[in-house]
Amino acid sequence: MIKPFLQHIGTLIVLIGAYELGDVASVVIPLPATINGLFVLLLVFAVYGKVPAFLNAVIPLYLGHMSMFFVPAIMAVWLFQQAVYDHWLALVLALVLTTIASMALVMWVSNKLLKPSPKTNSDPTDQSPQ
Amino acid sequence: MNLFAFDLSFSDISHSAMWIVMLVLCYGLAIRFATWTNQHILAHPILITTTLLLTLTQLIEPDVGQVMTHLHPIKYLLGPLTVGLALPVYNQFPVLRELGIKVIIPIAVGGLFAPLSAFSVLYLLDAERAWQLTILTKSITTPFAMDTATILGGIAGLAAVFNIITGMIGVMALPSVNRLLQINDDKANGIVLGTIAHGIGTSKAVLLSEQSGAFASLALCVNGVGTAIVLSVLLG
Repeated sequence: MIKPFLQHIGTLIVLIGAYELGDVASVVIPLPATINGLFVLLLVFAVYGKVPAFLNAVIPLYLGHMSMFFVPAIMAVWLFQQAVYDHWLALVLALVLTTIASMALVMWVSNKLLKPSPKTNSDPTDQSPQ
Repeated sequence: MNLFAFDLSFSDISHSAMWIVMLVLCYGLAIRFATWTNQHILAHPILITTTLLLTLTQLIEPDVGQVMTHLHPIKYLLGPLTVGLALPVYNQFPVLRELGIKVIIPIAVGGLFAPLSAFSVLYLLDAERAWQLTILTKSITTPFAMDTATILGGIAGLAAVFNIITGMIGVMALPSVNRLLQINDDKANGIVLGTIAHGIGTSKAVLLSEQSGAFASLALCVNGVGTAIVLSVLLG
């Protein structure tokens, strides 16, 4: 009972700490605080040599429910209703057509480069050491 | 960003607590609804939670901006949670090392074409500058998109909406793209979903096959981090 609680507290401290460091770093590095924070955490993993067990146990749980944390920002769309109506055609073209065109392009390129063949077939699910 | 965007008075804290509880309840209902519809794309928890909460807002406190202020602690926590994406990025390093340029090229092609084509459409149709800049982030994972849009001079909330719509279109259009190109390969499907439809596409790819899911996860990480860096450095 106490161990999962401590794992959550520890994970929150690490994540908030890395994010705040990233925020401070964004004064000199012109990247979002989240990207800088992500690099801080990657550096911690690299120095430690692996992902600490408590982070491995808790972070996937948080990432699985991340969508709830988008909601406050998405509510802002309510404030842009009129602008959305005014730009509906541009938005449909920009979101629907370009997304489908991008998908077709990426699929064609991926298929050319990563065509499965018996000898060179690479399976990213196999993450055993090389 | 501070955890609280308001004075720590009893009234503010109690309002904030009330709206956070409402958000969690709406999200819980949305998760159940998504399960009940067998994870139908139009029943995505983000869509249902936002709809429920906006409906409650209209009933209880019609000032959406005020409710967003009450939910500020949740908005703050999105930052640290996004940093947690370091875990899947770290786990994808061995795959990236193994496949190298063969997997980076299609992701980079999508990472360049998707934002530039969408930007061009809005530019040609004379949409506002902030919208043009915001749509550049449409295909990167939502939390990075919101942050990057802010740095570019776009609108974070709109970036999240563009993102979610793009993700849904990506999932819905995949079978048509498969038929059109007569390609239906797990690796290509995974890369397409992860690169263009980010997190929503990756969730779909996991359902298609384990291999699709792994490639989508890799594409999401590479495109998310890569595009966010390139856009911030070039235009920030």
